[in-house]
Amino acid sequence: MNSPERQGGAGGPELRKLMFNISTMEELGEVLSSRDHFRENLQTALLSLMGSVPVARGALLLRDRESGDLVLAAARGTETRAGLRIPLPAEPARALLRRRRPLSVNAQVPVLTPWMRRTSLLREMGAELLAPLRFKEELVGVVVLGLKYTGEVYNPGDLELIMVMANFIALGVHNQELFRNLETANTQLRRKVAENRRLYRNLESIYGDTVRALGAAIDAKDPYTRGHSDRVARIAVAIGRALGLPEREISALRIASHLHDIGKIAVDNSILLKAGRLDQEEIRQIHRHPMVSYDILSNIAFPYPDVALIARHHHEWVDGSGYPDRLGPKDLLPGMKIICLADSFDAMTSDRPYRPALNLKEAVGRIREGVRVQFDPRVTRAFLEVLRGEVRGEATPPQIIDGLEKRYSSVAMIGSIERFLGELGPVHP
Amino acid sequence: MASFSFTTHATAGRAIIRTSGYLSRTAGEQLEAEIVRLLGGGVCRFVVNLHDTDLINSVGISILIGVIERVRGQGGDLAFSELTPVNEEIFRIMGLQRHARMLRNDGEAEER
Repeated sequence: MNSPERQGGAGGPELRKLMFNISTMEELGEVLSSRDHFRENLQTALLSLMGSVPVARGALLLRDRESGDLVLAAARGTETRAGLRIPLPAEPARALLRRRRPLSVNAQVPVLTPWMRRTSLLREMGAELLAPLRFKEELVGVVVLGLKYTGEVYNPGDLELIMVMANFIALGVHNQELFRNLETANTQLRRKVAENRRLYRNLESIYGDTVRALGAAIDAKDPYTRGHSDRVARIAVAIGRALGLPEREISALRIASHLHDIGKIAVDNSILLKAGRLDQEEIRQIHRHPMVSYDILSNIAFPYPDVALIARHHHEWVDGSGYPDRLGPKDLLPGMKIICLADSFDAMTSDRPYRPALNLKEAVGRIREGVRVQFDPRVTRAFLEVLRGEVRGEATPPQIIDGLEKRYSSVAMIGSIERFLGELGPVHP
Repeated sequence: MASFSFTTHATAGRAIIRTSGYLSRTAGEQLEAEIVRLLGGGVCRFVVNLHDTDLINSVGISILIGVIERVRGQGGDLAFSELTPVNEEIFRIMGLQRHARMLRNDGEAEER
C-alpha cells in the first residue's frame, strides 16, 4: 500500500485536480456511450459533474421537444419531484443556446434574467449556475448547479470544466435520441415486414387455390381424370419431402403437378375419352400435350423454379424412351422424375375408359416392373417409404392411399413393399 | 479494480464503517444506504475509514458530499479516517474537509 500513487506523488493540487478531471471525463464518456439504462446514466453523469466541481446540489433537465419545457431527468441534494417541469419559452431558449459558458442565476442578461427571476423553481432548487446542454444548434437541456462545496465562487477553470462536461452530456443525450429513433424505425420496419409476410402468405394461399382450381378445371374435361391433378400434387409433394427437396422446389413441384396436364385442352375429347385402341395420329396428339402444357406455362412468371419444364417432361422415362424429348436420367430434374411416378401411380389406381383401376398391390407391382425403365430408383424408394408409413397408419393424413379402396391386407402390403425395397438395395443420388 | 465492500461497528450512537475497494456510484450508494439505515437506528456520529479504498471517482465524491449533508442535516457528525495521501489531497481540493473532519485513525474521533 506504499505505491507512489498511494503516497500522492509530486505535482501538487493543480496537477492532482487535472488528473482527477481527466479520469472523470474518461468515465463520463463510458457512461454516456452506453445505450442501456439511459436515465440511470444521466444520474451518473450529473453526479460525475457535481463531484468534479464539487457541488452538493444539482439537477439535470432535458428539453421536451414538443412543449419546449425543461423536464427534470436527474437530481441530487435538492428537493425535487419526478416529472418537474420548467416552462422555457422560445426566446430564453434561444438566448441559452447562444451561451458558450455557464450562466450565474444572478447575472444580468437580457431575456434570460427575467426568465430566471420568473422561474421560482430555480431558487427552490438552490440554483446558482445554469449550464446549457447544447448539441450543434439545438438546446437539448440544462444543468442546474448549487453553490460550490468549497464555499468559494466559481472560477474560470470551474466554468470551463462544467462547460466541457455539459457538452459531453449533450452529445450523449443527442446520441441516445438517435438510438431511440433508430429503434423506433426498426420496430416500424419489423412491423411492416411481419405485415408483408402475412400478406404474402395470404397471396400464396390465394395463388395455391387458383392453381388448384385451374388443375381441377383441366381434369373436369375428362370424367375419368377428375381429381387427378390434386392427387398427383399430393403424392409428388409427399415424395419430394421424403427426398428432402428444398421448399422452393416443393412449391414448384406442387404447381407443376396441378398444371401438368393443361396441354390436354388441345387434345380432342373424342381421343381422351376413347375406350378403344388409339391410332397413330391419336397417339401423336396425346403425346403433344406435355409440349402444349409447356408452351402455356412458360409464358407465366412462376415464383418457383422450372414449373413449365417439369410439366413438359412428366412423361419422360429414365431409360430415355419417354416423350416428348426422350431425355436420359442425367437430363431429368428430380421434380420431373417425381411427377412421372406420381402421375403414373394415380393413372394406374384410377378407372380408365379402356380398363378399371388397379388395386394398390397391382399398382406397386407395375411400379416394380418399371424401375430403372420408367421410374427412377431413388424416387421409387422414397415413394415406397412414404407408402409403407401410410399403410402402417403412421401418416396423417395419408397422401398416397387416400381415396383408394382398401382391397389389401396391410400386413401383406407392408411385406410386399419391404421386399421391393430390399430388391432396390441402396440407392445413390 | 478491487470490488467494494464495507464492515460496520456500531455502538452507543457511534458507528465506524470500514470500506474496501473502488468507491464509485454503486459502492457510494451502498455506503449511503448503510448510513441512512444507521441514522434511522439512532446513530449520529460516524467515522468512515477509507484506509483500504485507494480510488474514489467524482461520482464517489458527489455521493460522499450527499452523505455528509444528510448526516449534518440530522444534527450528526461524520469524519473520514486513514485516507490515502491521494484521497486526502482530493478531499482537500474538493473542500470536503470544510464539512467533515479528516482523522489519522478511528480513535482520534474519540480523543476530540
